Amino acid sequence: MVGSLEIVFVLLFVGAIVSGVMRSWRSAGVTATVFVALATVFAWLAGWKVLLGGGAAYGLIFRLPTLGSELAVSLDPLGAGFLLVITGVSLAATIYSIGYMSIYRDKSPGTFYALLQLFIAGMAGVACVADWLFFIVLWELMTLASYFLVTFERDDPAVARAGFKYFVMTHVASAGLLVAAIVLWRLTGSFAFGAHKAGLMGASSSIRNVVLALYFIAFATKAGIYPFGDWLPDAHPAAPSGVSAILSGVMIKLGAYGVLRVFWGLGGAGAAGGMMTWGIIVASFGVLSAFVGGLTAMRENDAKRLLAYSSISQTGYIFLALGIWITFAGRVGLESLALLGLLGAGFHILNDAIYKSLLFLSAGSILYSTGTRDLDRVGGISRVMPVAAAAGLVGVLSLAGLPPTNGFASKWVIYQASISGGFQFSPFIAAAVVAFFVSLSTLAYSMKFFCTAFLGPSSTEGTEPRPIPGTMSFAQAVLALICLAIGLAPLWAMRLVSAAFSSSLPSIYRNGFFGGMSTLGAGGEAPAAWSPIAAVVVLLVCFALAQIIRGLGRSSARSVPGWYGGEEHAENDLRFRARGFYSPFNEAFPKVYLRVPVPRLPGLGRLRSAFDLDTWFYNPLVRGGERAVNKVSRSHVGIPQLYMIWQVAGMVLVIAILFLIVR
Amino acid sequence: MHAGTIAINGLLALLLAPLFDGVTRKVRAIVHSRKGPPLTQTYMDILKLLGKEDLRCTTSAIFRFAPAAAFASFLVVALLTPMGAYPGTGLNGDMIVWIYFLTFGAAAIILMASASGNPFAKMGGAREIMLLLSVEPIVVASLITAAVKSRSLLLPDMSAHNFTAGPSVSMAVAGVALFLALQATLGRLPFDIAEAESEVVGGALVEQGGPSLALLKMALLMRQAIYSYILVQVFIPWPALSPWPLMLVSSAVKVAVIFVLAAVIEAVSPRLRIDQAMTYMSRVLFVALAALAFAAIGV
Amino acid sequence: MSGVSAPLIHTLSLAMIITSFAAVEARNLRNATIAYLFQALLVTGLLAAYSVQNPALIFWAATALVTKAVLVPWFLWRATAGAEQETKPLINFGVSAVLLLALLATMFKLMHANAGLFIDVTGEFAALAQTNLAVAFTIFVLGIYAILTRRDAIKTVIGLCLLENGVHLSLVSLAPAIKETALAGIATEVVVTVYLLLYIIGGIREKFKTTDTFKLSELHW
Repeated sequence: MVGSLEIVFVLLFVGAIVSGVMRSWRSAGVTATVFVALATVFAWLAGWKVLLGGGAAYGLIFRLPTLGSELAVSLDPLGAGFLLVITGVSLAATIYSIGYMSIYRDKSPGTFYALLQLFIAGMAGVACVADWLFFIVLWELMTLASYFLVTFERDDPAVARAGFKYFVMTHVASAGLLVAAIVLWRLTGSFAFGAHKAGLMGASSSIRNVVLALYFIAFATKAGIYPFGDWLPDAHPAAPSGVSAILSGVMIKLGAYGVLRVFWGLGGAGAAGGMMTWGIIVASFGVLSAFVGGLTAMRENDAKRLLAYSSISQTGYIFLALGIWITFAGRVGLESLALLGLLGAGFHILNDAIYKSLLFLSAGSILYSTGTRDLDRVGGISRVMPVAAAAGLVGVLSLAGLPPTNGFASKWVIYQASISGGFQFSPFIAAAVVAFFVSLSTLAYSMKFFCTAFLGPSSTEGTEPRPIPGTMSFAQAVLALICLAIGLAPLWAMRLVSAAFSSSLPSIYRNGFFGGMSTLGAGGEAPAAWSPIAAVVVLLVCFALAQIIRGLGRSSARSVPGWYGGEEHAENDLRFRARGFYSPFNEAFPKVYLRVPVPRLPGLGRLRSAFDLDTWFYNPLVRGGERAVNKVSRSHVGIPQLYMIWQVAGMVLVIAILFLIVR
Repeated sequence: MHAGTIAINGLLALLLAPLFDGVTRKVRAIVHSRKGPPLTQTYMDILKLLGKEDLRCTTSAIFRFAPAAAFASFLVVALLTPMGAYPGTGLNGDMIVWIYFLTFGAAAIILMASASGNPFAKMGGAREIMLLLSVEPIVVASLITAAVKSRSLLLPDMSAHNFTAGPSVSMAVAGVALFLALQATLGRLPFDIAEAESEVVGGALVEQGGPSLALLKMALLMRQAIYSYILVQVFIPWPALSPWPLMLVSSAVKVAVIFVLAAVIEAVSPRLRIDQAMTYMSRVLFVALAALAFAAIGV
Repeated sequence: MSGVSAPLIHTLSLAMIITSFAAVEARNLRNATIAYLFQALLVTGLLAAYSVQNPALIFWAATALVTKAVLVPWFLWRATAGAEQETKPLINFGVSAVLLLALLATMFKLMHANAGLFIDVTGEFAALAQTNLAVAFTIFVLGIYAILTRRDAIKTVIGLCLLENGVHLSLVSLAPAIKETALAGIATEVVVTVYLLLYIIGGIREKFKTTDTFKLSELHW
């Protein structure tokens, strides 16, 4: 239904204009929600049809023949899958924002909701085009809208700095994206996805590697992979919580979407060797991100920063799975391994979108209820918001990857892919061990997040926590229910994911008894098995057994105050603060996260001193000469290792030259 | 899903775990030159606890139901562990499911500790996580070594492979690593940091009483039995005895021997600090990773 | 001639690399000495395994046992009597471990692929000789890494011993017909070098009260 896809964008643009002129937060919120909900309905109609039917939707808007490019709404199963997730999560966040944004009394509601809808339009557009030029245009629209949303609280200098860093890093990366697209356009004369893929396969390997590197850096920056995604820990907390949920839940996944598009179908006869290296590179960045993100999140005491580092960590998992896919794609006999990696990546994208946005909405609830994000100062909020607390518990269990939630299901596939891939290529086994360690640290910081904020005695500092409006609880509850549903029936969800990849799931998994699944173990992947429904049924039976055993003694219950060693203590002394968690562990692991410095823009004062030859020509020359001379003298420090390094370096150089001559 | 194995594994876990604890207490007493309690003392302790008052310091639902949740999850893990019955496991699940259900139980205990609001409990919970962070990678690395050797993630396959292929360098090193980490997985001195009686007054257990305490004690005892069973079944499965009840008995005997060893070490050891424990575990992790390297080259 | 089993060689080689890694990275100098002792025993074991195809190596294995596995560790043990903790190097453990693993993997692959430049790779025992050369080169590189990046002078000595072990191991493939007397000469040279170095370090410790090489920078401008 082509018409319905274009309606989606029309609705979002009209909604942006309509809610843009509203004056009160309430009315703007409700209007925006109505428009976004309608847009979601139409998007879902078209998306489900493409996903389940396996066809594609196409609607041309206009064409630019000289550039070989066209703006068309073109939806294939992969794009359809992403469109469904984007619109679903955005709708939940918009419903949440109706009640949440009332804490921003003095800001303009029109601006916020207009920008929000433009943002959603940009993201949906990115999933709906098949042309790199307009992909970049919509990508920029999405980034611009999100920049204004991130810097919504412009008065706070920390927020402004975070937004600036986000802007600079993303645009540097997008410049690389544009360069790569133009290089391929020169080679093929068109901007279409298919033409570029053919161009990549046919290009010489040096050009291909440069183009792939530019694409990878651009998408890794958006996804938040460790060295490139340094903007994430500052930008995501700075945005309002509904926007943070969309940023972390969905926008980051579009980086993975870009990697999927670029590397799709590149494996195979011509490019096989090079693709294995690329797969290892992508997987290495994934493991590095997962490790660094996980360990740094354990030290954080700010609820949203903790979740931002957690996003970096989970994106690392997705890129690890993508790396496994790229390594084995197109290799004869190992297709099932590649499919495992692809499935793991796609499934984790889906699940992470749901529980990460749920958790950011929980963090927003903490902020709304107590006025602070500092985990040191909050406590016992579950008393005033039981529904949101239960939803937060489900979200935290999903993040930690515990059965029977959806987080476990996707991690299960990723571990399987990693270990089976390790049979073919040993370093992936090390990746599996590191991934497991990261999963444990995920448990650690997710417990820290939930236990300090929601459980325990109420915080005695500041005001009493206030309850949250129903719309906020509703949005969180819906997301939590989806988490549990997918966790209990992962095979069904995996079928949808594999439909998005136009591949056949039955080649790997077969249906087991009681809704379970097991691998066939035929194509190089290790046999594995998991039946969530059976396990949950048995778990509930054992739980009932436990309660029966407990009742055997017919004991009575009595309510008593807590026991603190028999002494009286002031309330404040008794609180085990968030910063006390894991302190020996954090001291053992030194700061693993090195920040990327972004230069500040020089002011106009430089202009005055431009005409003074002394200051900018002669003196620097003399100083430079002095410094160079000093540097040379620094090569004699007296430390024996340094001299030996010179010796070894010289020897290696001579041997290398001899090598080249002899060869 | 095999109903018979489920029943057998469940009964073994429920009935034998307190017996192993009784063995531990007896051995500890002998080392201390005491007579010690009878072997069935733990059964009587648990039964007595069931009749005592359940003191609750908070009305939180998590606090009330977490002991049962922990008990249930460790029982499910027992159903997933090969204990010598045929076929291997009752429930359909591989090593990843096994490890994550164990983590689920630990998470339940940590949530319960935080819900109680007692700072000793929270401290115990945080220590439990740090100990998990140090020890579980070793367990995982050893099991992945077994997975690489047997080309399968299913626990019974690993056990069967070790029977047919005989001892190998990588499995031996992995077994050594798992054994070195055993004291920590069992939560015994010198690694009972999470429940250190003199430091955090029992840690997560401090606010539990009566039936809740009984359930938690059973849960923790079952966890100890499970870890010992995994070590025995996957890494020291010989000899293979043909009617499977004999196999059950021989596994139980081997697990009892392990508990005796653990009790002896416990009786003569002081407690390590958490950072000392982490340093020790990082060295054992090195051994476990060496086992993985050996498995990767195929020996 | 019964062939020497490839899995045995591979196991011993991998164990040797692991123990060398431990010897380089262990912060406690006594533990590093023990790791070096095991490494030397494994070198002896490898030599004994290769002696199946080259009987002269038995004598070499015996000499190596005495010099590398007994004398050198004993000297190191005495030298580390007072000061057991190494001065911390600049690169911390995690980064160093990852760097080292990457270096080892590349060097192994490099030598394995280019072994044809040094030895005849078409003969009867060519595959084993290739592996041996690659492993020996890896340990050589480990030794150089230890000398260049460790701050403590005793670690430098351990690195030197690793370097020598690597070189001697490569002799198995590079010079199969070497005479026993030459081998004995090589062995004693190692012992004398190590003894002299440790003697010097003892003197340094007396004079400067430390074995931190960064503090030995009296000779500079």
